Amino acid sequence: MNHRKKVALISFNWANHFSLALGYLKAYALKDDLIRKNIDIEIIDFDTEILNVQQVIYYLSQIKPEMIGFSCYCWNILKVLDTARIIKKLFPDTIIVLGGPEAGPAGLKYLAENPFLDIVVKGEGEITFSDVLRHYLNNSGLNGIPGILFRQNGSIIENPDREPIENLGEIPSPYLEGILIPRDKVTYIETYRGCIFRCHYCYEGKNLPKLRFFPEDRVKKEIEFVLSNPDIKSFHFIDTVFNLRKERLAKLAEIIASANRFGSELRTVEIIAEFVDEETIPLFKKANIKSVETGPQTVNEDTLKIVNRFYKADKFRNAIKLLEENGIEVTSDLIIGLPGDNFFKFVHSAKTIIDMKPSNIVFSILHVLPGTILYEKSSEFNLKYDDKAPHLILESPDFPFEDIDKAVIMAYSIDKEYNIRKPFFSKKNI
Amino acid sequence: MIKYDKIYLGSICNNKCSLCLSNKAIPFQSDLNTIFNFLEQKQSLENILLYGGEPTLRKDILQIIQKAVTLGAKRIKILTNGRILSDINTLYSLMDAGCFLFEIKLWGSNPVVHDKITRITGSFHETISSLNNLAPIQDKFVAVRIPICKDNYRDIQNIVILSINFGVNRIILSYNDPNLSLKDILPFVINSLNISIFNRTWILTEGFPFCVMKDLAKHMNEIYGDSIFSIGYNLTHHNKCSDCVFRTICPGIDSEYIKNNSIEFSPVLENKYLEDIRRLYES
Repeated sequence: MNHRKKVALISFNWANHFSLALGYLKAYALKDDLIRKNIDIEIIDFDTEILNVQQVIYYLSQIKPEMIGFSCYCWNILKVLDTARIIKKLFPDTIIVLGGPEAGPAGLKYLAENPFLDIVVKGEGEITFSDVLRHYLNNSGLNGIPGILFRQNGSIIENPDREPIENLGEIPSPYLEGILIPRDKVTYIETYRGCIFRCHYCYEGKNLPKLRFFPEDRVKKEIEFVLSNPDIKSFHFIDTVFNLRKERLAKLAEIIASANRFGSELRTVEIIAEFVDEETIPLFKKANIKSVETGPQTVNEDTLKIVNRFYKADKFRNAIKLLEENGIEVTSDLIIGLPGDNFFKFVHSAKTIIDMKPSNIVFSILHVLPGTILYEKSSEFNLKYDDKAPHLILESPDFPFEDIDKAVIMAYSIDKEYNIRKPFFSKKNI
Repeated sequence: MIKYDKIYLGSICNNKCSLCLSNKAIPFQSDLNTIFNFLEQKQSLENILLYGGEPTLRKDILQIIQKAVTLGAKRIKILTNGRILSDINTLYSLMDAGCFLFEIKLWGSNPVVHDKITRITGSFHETISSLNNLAPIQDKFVAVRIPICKDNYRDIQNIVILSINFGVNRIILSYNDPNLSLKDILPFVINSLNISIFNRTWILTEGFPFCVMKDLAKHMNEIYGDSIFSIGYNLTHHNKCSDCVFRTICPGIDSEYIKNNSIEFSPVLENKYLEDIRRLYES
């Protein structure tokens, strides 16, 4: 009897989230007869809040996969490396593959520094990972697969990049294929890939500059499928800009409204506030959007120019007012440590946004992420950052370490004060 | 940084702090209707700060909070000596009504220093008890205000450490005694700033001019536009201040202090961040 190979696709998440990316990998791989007939692919989402590396190792030691693929982000790569290192010690024949935005752009570094890693997938992984699986089954070597780096006879080989997938319709929907089961609060739908902006701190715009859309009927079916589940009280879109074009927004709102018989809410969709006007609001309401997240990351002109960030103060302010007045909560994001900012400029941004009265403000420290312009040109920007993930900024020309540190501490205090919510207790309960 | 509409609830207090201006006033309680009218007349009620005297002594404090909530206030902060909040039921009542932000005055790290200034035996334990009650509650904001005077300036580092141990979200060192030399207390202030930042707790100063703070200007509450220091003080500038680059934005210092300590002031002639600070101050 034919021995079926076992492949584990692993993601370290938190708060009950699951990996859409791994769903895509599996859905695409299973299109291939050879893979479908010979490999069992198991997606495992480990919750890092609940499980430690030892528990993950124990689980893997029970299923003993021949190959493990890890979905890597700046927030989970350290756990990935810990797990991979121990697995390789225990089961030296296991092939370890990394992919995702943390591993791809820094693949050479990760392979060089971690001898237990075998393959790194660069860029979009669906076709590339499928190729890796097929070549593994055929035992035909990896030299012909674009979009990977791999170890061969002690050397690291980097194959040419693979072009982004032109027709996203080639990737089957992991929801419609039954690979991912929608769950309340953590279900994501993607309608397109890429970004119209080229912010220097972001991976998306630089590496996936061309917008590519999933076919409309497939998006419609995904939305209808997710919303047919009465347990889904809220769900999300992961599009870089949900309100990209008004006519498109109108179509999506119509699809959602028609399918939304259980009143599911759309929460925390990423928008460009400057695109919001009086016509947008009814569309947001039709789509049952309850909360949106938006920039501007900074309001300082010099900084915006340096990091190539789009921001129109008046339109942004007007959008927050419009959205909040119409009961749509706005979360505004600010980044600490952007090149061009200093302590006082950052505070000015915070003060400006506070004055606009969004429901929430999220402060985060700059992560100099692999694959971004800031990462690649860090010496040009004179940035000092931690090589180790999550690649926090340490110092920039006008923002010395001490000031960044103080800005972070201050932001934590402002966050507690500004984002205060009624506590979950009542006098009646004591 | 978050601007609060400040509402004075009257001078009545259960402490008798030697330097407190309310303590010198005739006992007085603001009329409830006047407070309600003030709240109702605000076009956009977002943040309010209730202060006194001691706001928690008012029998109608819950009504005031509830009224503000009804009118749309999102953040209601009480500036308090905390003694009444040592009763956990009272604390929960305030929170139930809609007040989750507290700024608690702490004068000393021990009863000897604290009670000497408040002139109420047992006040320290009650204030500490309120911090203890607040500590385990997740969704709240607690700042500790440390008014600095001649009787406690050597103790402020200990007060800062004590506050940090209660997990407070901010500490404010408020210069409160015109008879005390700023230069004398500066080493204690700098040490307190370092202790607080080392322990990841944001710390601000009030009443210390730019020429004293120098490179520590980022800790000056005045530049964030949320200082309450100037309330009740007669602030002015020294002649030497005319040469200072911060002349137009520095709130100045108590006029009595300037008379007695003119030698301490030396104008700041340049600052790398002047324009950024000015813009921040003016925004």
